Parts: sequence; C-alpha cells; structure tokens
Amino acid sequence: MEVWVAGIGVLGPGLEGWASASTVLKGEKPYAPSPVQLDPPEILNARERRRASPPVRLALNAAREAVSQSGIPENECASAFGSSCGDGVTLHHLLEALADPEGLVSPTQFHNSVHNAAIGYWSIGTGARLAATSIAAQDQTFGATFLKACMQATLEKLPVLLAVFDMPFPEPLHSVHPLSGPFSVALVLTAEKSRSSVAAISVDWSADGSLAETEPGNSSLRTLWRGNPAARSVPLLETLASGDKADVVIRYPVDGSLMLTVVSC
Amino acid sequence: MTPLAVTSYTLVSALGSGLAATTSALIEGRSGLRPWDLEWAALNTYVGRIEGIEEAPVIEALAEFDCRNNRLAQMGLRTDRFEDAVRAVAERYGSRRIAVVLGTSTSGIRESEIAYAERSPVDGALPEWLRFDTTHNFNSITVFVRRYLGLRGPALTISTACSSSAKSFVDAAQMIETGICDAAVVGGVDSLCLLTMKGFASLELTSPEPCRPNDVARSGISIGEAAGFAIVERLDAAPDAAIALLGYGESCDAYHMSSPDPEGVGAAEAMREALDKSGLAPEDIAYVNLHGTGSVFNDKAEDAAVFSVLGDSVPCSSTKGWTGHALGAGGITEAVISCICITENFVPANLNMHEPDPALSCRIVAESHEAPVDRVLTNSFGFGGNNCSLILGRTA
Repeated sequence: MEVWVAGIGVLGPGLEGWASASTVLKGEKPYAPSPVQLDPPEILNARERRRASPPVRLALNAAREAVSQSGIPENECASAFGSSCGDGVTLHHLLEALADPEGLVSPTQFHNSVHNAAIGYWSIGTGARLAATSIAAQDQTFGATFLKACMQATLEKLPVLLAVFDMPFPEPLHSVHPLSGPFSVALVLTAEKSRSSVAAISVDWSADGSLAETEPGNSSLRTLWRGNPAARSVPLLETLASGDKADVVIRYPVDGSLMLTVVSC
Repeated sequence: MTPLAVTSYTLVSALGSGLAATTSALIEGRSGLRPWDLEWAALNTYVGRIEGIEEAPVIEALAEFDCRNNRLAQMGLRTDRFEDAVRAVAERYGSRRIAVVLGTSTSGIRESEIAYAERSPVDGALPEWLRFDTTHNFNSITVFVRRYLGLRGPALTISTACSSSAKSFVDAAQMIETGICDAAVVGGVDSLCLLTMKGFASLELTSPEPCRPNDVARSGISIGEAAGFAIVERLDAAPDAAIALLGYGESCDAYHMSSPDPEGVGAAEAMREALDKSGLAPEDIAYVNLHGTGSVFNDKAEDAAVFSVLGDSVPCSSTKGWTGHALGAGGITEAVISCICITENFVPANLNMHEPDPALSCRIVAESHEAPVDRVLTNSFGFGGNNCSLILGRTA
C-alpha cells in the first residue's frame, strides 16, 4: 500500500520540533541531547493544560506539530496512537496510593491511567470524533501503530494522525523497565497525494524477521533508538529529513518486517 | 465490508467456563455477580469474579508470564476446545498466517500492586520477583496467548479501556483485508485488580448492589473479569461458518475522559457507521446488546444514542447484570453473548432492572424470550470517549 506524509512532529532530547530536529537528523548539526521541554499542550483548555501529565504533553505536542504542518483540520483525522508503556508517571502515583491501606486513589489520576489517555485528551481538546485507537506492542510499538495508521488511511480513506510516544518510568519502576529517554513522533498520513504531502511511502510487509532493521545513520542516536520504542522511528525520520529516496526496514510485531520505500516530493 | 467469518469462540466469565455454562446462565436468568470477598481490601460492592484463578498457574514453560490476567487467559484458551480450533486453523493456513490481536485495560498490573506493597524499606526498590515485562506490561497478554497457542504471525495489543476487545475485531478485519494474515485470534482479557476496584470507586461509579442497568434507581457498575476469544477468517475460506462480523463502527465522544457525552453523538456515529459498513438498515437489527454498565450517565447517554439511530422498536438489553463489566474484556464478552443469542434465537432480558427508568426511550427487554435473532448490534464504550459498535449476524 502507499501513503503520503502530510505532516511530521517530533519531540525528544535535542530533537524538539521538526524544523530543528531535521537539521540534526540529516546530519547538518551534531546531536546534542538536552532535557525535553514539555510545554502544556495548546489544544487543551486551561485547566486540563495545567494538569496534563508529562507523557500526555509529550504525545500531544508532537501530534499538534504534525497536524499543523498538514493543514488538515484535526477533526478530519482518524487517529492511531501507540505507546509501549503508557503513562508511567500517573501509574507510579496510583501504585503508591494502592500500596497504602489508607491511600486514596485520585479519580482524575485513575481515568488518566488508561493507555488511551493521550488520544482521549487529543480528541477532547480538538473535537476529533473519528476512529481512534491506542496500541501497545513493546519494542515494536512504532511498527504496529504505523501499519495500523496505513491500513486505516487506505481502507477507510481518511487522513490518519499517527502518534507514538514513550517516556521513562519514574523509580522504582524505571529499574524494572528502563527506557533511554523520552521521545514522541507524529505523522499525518493520507491515502492520496495532497498539496501538503512531503513524501510518499510505499509499505510492504513480510513475515521474514531475518531482514535487518534499519539502524540510525547517526550513531549518536543509537542509544535513543534502541532504548525507546517510539524512537524506532528515527531511521524513517532521518530519511524524511534528508529528502533522499531510501528503503527503511522497521520491525513489525512480533518478528515480521515492514519494508518502507520513502520518496520525498 | 465483506463479512468476516467468526468460526470459533469461547468465554470464561462470572457465568462460568465456556459457551454451555454461559448459555444456561443466560437462559436461566442466573447472575454471576457476588459480593466482593477478596482479602486485598475491604470494599462494599459486587463483582463478577471467576473462581479458581488462584489455584491455576500458567503452564511451566511460560512461568515468567504467571499473573492473574494470564492465568485467566489460559483458562479461556483451554475452554470449548478453543486451542484445538486454533491448531486446526494454523494447520490450514500456516502458523505465521494467524494474527493475535487482543484487548486489555490493566493487563497484569496486579503483580505490580503486590510488588509496591513489598518495596524495600531501605531504598524503595521493588522486590526481585516482579517480572514487569511479562506480566504488567500491556502487551504481555498478547505475547502470552501467541506463545501458548504456538502461533508465529503478527500480534499486538489494543488498550482503549472498555472498547479494547471489541476493537480487536476491527484490526483483525483490516489485517486480513490487507493480506498480512489469513485469520486472527481476537478478543481480550481483563482481571480484577485493586486499581480498577478503587479507581472506579473514587469516581463514584461502582454500586454497593449488583448493577442495575437502565433501572430508575441504578447506582453504578459491578466490575467483572473475563477472558474471551474468537477466531476470525475470510468467509469465502470458511463457508460453513454460522456467524460473521457484518459491520463495525468506531468513534470518539470528544467530551470527557470518564463521563459520556449526554447526547451520545459519538456513540450514534459509531452505530451508524456499523450499519453503513454492513449495508443494513435499523430494522434489520433483531437485538441490541447495550454497553449498559448501570452507571447513571452511561445508560442515559447510550439510550439517547441508540434511540437516535434505531428508534424504539428494536429490543435492547444490557447483559452486565449477568457478567458485570469486564472492562477491556467487555467487548468480547458481549460479542460472544451476541453469538449465543444468534445461535439460540434468544433475546436476553435486561437483568436486574426492577423498574425501568421512565426517562429512557428505547425498548428495553424486561423478560428473556425466544425470537429469531439474525443480526445483533453490540456496543462498547470506553474511557476517553472511545466507542466501538459491532454487528454480528447469521450467515445463512
């Protein structure tokens, strides 16, 4: 199948926003990781904006960037969000409260603990009522969510906002499930070329897990790529940034391969 | 859409293990709800608890996956010869051509709940025994089921709260249409945990009595647990299939994280999309299995939505008075119940409704009865306003 990229968003250490991140991804500037700025998401109302947890900010800010670039109204996009572990910040608070016999569970934190909280807040903030999903597939979450978005775009004939995000857990969960750093990526995909298309991606799937997954061209991005499931998108982002035609292999869960041929336009 | 054959299905819930137990509980009007009695906490509520999970660890070969959720999954896979049915399908198409798409909301979180109560007093570290990746991790259920069944195809987990396992049918349909698999194991599992027991209580959504969907005095939900699975494949490759997925619809409320849009606009859109995809008109639906949790707001909002799409002549009921609300596994629970309604030509009553809420407009079934049931629409609505409607129907 073929999809067109209408917008790109990215948020990670030293990769804040597509404009500046793409200069790093195409090798024009050295990679210089710094703590990610997680601004309160503009699309939420004032109260929700303040209360949005860090993982939700991570997801929504990248999503917002991609949709703005696409020029497609948010409420005309279906959504496919993915995260390997969801909101660990909220989870930790809840688990602490539950471990205390006198502990009180915050009702807001409880409804924020669902895996689909980020897409929930996105739809509430933007009024988007089309189909939305939230996928978890451990290290292959990006591949899983990307293919879902492609299927949704081509079969349902809708623009699809793809957003995959993962944020390290606070301790003590971090020690049992470490992530290399926060990262989120968002793409708006359409089944047909449009004025805002920046690239075409032809997508093939294979059960062959022996195909090597494409690694980041920039070796200083390897740690992030390997240690954050959302950052498995980095080689694809490098290709989109460079404007070259290239093939990218992404692992599809559990041991299949997505073969992408990316052609910039 | 091209109808998708549902060639095998099973359910383990508070009604018991398997289709026969579920069917007789439905026909006999026997609820599976009971007072909360686990020692984890003192709670004044009813639950759809499944017996025997504590005594049934997962198989030794998959010991690292052992947790309540995966134990319950194993119970489900061993029921109604489901694992044999999977083996047969895998032989037909090849094990790499069978996908596993499952829904869950809390996976094996209970393990982390127990672990947090055993943190080191010195440095707060979690105990050594916790195996987060193979238990609590959202995707653990899918990896466990895939390995238990010996499958080697695509696999992922959908976690959209109470619509999760309903949506598994949608992803499987898309994967089959795209050609990345020929069949899929769909469904999901959710099990009792302290997070949902205390979480729903904190939102004042749980009732101290067995839930009473659509009742004028309803006062909240009864949490349940369940494991349900189905095999879906192309109808032209499974011409003997008695039941097919005819349509699906998905939408968001875009309203609030834990309260439904009172006008049910998103819910209505999901139902309309399901009808459009199936090429059916409202009068073609014999029965609506409502999401019907028993919460004051859900039942009212859903009623508005159903009425706006289907009017007041289609019989509707919630079956959560039987099973409780199995959260992420609610969708598959009610898909399987819908399949039972079709095969048995049975319309279940809205159990525990002592006095219908006069503010509701739909035709809510007060007494179970037999009637031709060719096509059922079933709703699942989750936190975040995530809606999924499925239409299941008799193939011939």
